[in-house]
Amino acid sequence: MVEYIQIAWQGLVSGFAYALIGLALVMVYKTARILNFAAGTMAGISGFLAHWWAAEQDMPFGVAILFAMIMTGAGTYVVERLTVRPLVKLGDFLPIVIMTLGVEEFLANVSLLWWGGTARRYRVPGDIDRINWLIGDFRLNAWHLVVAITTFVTLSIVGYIINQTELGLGMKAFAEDQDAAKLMGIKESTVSIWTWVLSALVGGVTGIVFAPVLFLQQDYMNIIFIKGFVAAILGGFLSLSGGVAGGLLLGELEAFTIKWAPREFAAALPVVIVFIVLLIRPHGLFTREKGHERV
Amino acid sequence: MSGLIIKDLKVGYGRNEVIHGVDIRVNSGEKVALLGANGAGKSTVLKTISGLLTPTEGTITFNGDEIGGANPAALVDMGVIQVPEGRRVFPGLNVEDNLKVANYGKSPDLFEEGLETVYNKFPILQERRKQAAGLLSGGQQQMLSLSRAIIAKPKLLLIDEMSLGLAPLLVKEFYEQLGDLFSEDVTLLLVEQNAGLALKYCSRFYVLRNGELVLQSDSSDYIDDPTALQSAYLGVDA
Ligand SMILES: Nc1ncnc2c1ncn2[C@@H]1O[C@H](COP(=O)(O)OP(=O)(O)OP(=O)(O)O)[C@@H](O)[C@H]1O
Ligand SMILES: [Mg+2]
Repeated sequence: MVEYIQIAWQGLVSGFAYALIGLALVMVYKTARILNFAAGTMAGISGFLAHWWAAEQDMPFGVAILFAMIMTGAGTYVVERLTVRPLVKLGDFLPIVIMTLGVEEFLANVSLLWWGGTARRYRVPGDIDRINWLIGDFRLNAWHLVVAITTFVTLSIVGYIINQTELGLGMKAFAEDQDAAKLMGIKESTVSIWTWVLSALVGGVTGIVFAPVLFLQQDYMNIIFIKGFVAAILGGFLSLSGGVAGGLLLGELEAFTIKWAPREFAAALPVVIVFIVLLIRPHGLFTREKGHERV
Repeated sequence: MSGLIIKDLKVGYGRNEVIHGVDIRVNSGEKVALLGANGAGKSTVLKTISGLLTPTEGTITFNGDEIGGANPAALVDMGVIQVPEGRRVFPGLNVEDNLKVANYGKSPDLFEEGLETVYNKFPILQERRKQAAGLLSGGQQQMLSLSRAIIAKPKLLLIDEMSLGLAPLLVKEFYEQLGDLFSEDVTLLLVEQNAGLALKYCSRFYVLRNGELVLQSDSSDYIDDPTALQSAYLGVDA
């Protein structure tokens, strides 16, 4: 029994990463109808920045994270204005998606130049990522608990912004009907940019909180990005809660596949899942056909 | 130079020009109808005034300010409010959130005030205020769409085919209510296919056919026999 709880917990922790990146992707897609292929790399850079400020500039751990988040937000703001905005005016979907691929490529190369190709350990205070508590036979890693709490807090903040603030209302209105939203006086460029920033901050949190788990490497968030993408597809790509649920589901499926099937199969699992879901439910597991799922 | 003045407007979608030079004038406080058959370009004209489309040629001024090609949000701030064709409520948002969107960027106090007015005029919306707007009936959605405009406090109101998909009796009721919903001095440009209704409410009208104006007149000239307009709509001699 404990063994299964252990596997389920492991799946949940990976699921948190997929859920957060899935959420970040759906957010931008839902409001702006843009697929952000740079999401994973952007998140990785947040992790690297936090590491750099703490380990190489001797900043306190928390301050380094704060700086990294500010940089993530500000950087995204600039990237949106410089690359996305001019293309939105042209009103075509594909050029923007290709532009995000270009941004991805650019950022990946910048980070490779800056940090090189070697893997590093992201150190956390007290090395608590190496502390494991035994509760009966259940092993709980202290950092995994931090991951869980961080995920919960992040999801709560996003939920609050979406459901309780004017920005959130604007995002929802925009997601439902762009022209009608414009006619209500909602500025497209304002909603768009804050959606991008919020999405990048969610990605940044993910990149930082999972850095100790994954080790910092130039492309350490790529795999999380792919799985976050799968999470978003599972959730129908138009539902924020669907994206989160899809991430958690994927995490569990993976964890239990590893238990019962060869490791190699677990790696292929996301592709298999996407294939099956698209066959059976092209609109995702958690979205109704018309895509008018609540946010 | 008060009111809405459109001069030699040309606009379209991509390279496809749909409006080929149209002049329309609505004096301050005046109620004017824009009539025409399916595809004549009525909605295109309204969408251009409200900023969703940018004119390729010509000018649009409202109370002396050039507004052609302005950002829709800036136009809303100026009091240019459109009630779009097909109602366009946000189906997944509840009724009250739909109304809240109409108050976007403005003070919450103003919203409370507007909300009270709206709920007074349409008590059913208050009853359903927590329900998703997509679940409302067509008539209730039209109430909601009009209510958003009430909350937005228009100076220039653009209403696009209020009658679309609604029972004739209900449409008649909406028209009878219009004067009560918005203040006297609101400048109104109303798009309709149903000439009979529009003529009763508006003092003047224009008829658009294939993106060009083919007739303009006082409503009183046709009010007894709106079917006579049919020929103007369709371009056949009656
Ligand atoms: N989004 C669009 N993209 C391309 N062409 C469009 C678009 N919307 C309308 N058109 C074209 O512009 C012309 C005018 O359409 P418009 O919607 O303005 O007509 P309308 O007078 O409002 O008609 P209706 O009474 O049916 O609403 C039509 O030929 C239509 O096909
Ligand atoms: Mg129309």
